[in-house]
Amino acid sequence: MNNNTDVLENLIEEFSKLPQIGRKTAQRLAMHITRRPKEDVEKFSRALLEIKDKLRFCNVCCNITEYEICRICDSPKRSNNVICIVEEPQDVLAIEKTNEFKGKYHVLHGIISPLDGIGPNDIKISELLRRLGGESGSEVEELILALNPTVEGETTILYLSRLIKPLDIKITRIARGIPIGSDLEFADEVTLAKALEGRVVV
Amino acid sequence: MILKKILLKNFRNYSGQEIIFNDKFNFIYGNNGHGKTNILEAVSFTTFGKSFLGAAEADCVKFGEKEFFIESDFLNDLDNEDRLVINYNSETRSKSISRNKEKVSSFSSEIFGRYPIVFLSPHSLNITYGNPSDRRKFFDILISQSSRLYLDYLKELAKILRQKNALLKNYTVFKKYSRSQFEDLVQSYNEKLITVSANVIFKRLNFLKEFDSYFSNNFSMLTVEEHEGSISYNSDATGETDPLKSQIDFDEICRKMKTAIDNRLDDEIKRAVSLCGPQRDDYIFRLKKSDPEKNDMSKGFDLKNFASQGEHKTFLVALKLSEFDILKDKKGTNPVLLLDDVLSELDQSRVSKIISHLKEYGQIFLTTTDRSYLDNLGEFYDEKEISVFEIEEGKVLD
Repeated sequence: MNNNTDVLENLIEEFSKLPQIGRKTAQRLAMHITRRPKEDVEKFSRALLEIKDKLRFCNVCCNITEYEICRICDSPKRSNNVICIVEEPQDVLAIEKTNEFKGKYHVLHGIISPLDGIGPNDIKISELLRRLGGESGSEVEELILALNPTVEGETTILYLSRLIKPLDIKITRIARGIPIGSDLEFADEVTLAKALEGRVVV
Repeated sequence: MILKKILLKNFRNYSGQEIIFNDKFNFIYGNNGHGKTNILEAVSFTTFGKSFLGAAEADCVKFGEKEFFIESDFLNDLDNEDRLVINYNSETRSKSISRNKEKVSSFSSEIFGRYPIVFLSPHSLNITYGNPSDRRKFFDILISQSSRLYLDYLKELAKILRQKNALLKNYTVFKKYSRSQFEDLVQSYNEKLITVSANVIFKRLNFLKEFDSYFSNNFSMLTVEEHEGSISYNSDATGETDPLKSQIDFDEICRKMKTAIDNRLDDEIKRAVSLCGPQRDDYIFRLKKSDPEKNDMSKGFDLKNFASQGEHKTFLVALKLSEFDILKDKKGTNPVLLLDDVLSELDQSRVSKIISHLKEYGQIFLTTTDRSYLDNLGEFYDEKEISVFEIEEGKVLD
């Protein structure tokens, strides 16, 4: 079927397991590796291993970090009063880019979806509850739920708010609607209708 | 809107056929099994992305061939031409649809609801005879064509139900969550389900209210006797509701929905499946005869159980013509009317009533085995307003 040697084939196989990488790209990447000097490849493979060896979840917010407590949770400049709850670590990066949020985060690492067999125990909900019930928990005044506006996101929001309600903490969710800088006429009907639904007083 | 031309390749029993249609009346006749309906089915494929008859794509490929191809040219009221092409390959099981050479997905707004078509065939009798799901489907498609938001609610509803069913199954069958965890989870799903369900029911009731004025006009046009037809909505939450007589209040629907869903929870847990919501609702067609001695029921009798075949057909034709009228008003253009072998189903007095009204309906396609209907049409159409196609063995005879 193919003329590649086993080691090369192995590498191509591994590359093609990566997201967005097809067989052809995987082959190109593998061939590229064969041409690199040895120290470069060593550096590359060390970088890969270090991800697994050194990265861990932050003890507080469950974001990925090299330390016991991540830089955001450790920063004295960030407020303990507001916690923003997100699905994945990349959502933290997205919100951080805005430079507008000065609170802290909590990363769920997934979302409740019985269809995919993901229940409350499979994501970092108990960690969140422990955090809210812990000593710094009393400082928390508001939880911002920044989950995706899908059925799974919405029901996770409803579930979390049921759990958190007895704790008497203000719960908010991010708004949804028309993207900034776009024209109303280009918005699709559903987004527009939901934006109408979520209108606010001027 | 006008369908100017259609080109069929390896579709059903057509190996290759181009047909240029008349802007007014297209009279398609031929013996049974020669391919009259196939032409109408092809039209439904290009505008809906699937068959009106519910046939699988693979069954539509000509025997012994691998793929079919349908190209249709529409002309809108502003004289712009749109070319829709659909291609299905049974080996790769892939379907591709394009509009003016640009690929589109079948349910994108590029296609859906853009080329309004009303299709009436003996198959449509499922709407009055069949299951609640047939009636829901009829109205769902109709409402979705004028409300994208409604279509979105339906999709959301289906998603929530899939998740809730998985949740119930995980709990009851696989004993996955603790009781308190399950309670919180199922309440979260129910909360979402209640909002979406109420939105769906609210839209349906409001649509019925609007639909009724079209329907009662058409119904009285079709009936000789003083009969009255009405459509009401039946749901677990609200019971049978006549949208004309009751106040449609969103919050009220939400409250009733919540009570209904809460009441069924124990059964749902036992049976590990959702038992409550608009996915189980029904439309009830009622017929009221104005003779008070024979019929003292104030709301009329249920068509499904008590009506004669003729009454079913009249009701159906009235539904379909109302579909035409409401689409015409919403879309601002005449839908294309496809009448598949319907005249033979009706008695002569109704046939002449329908034919005398056909002229109001824009472009029409009619299939029949009986050429003699052509004589009736002559009264209402000029010679050049009618094109006659004789079909034999998957070919249009010259």
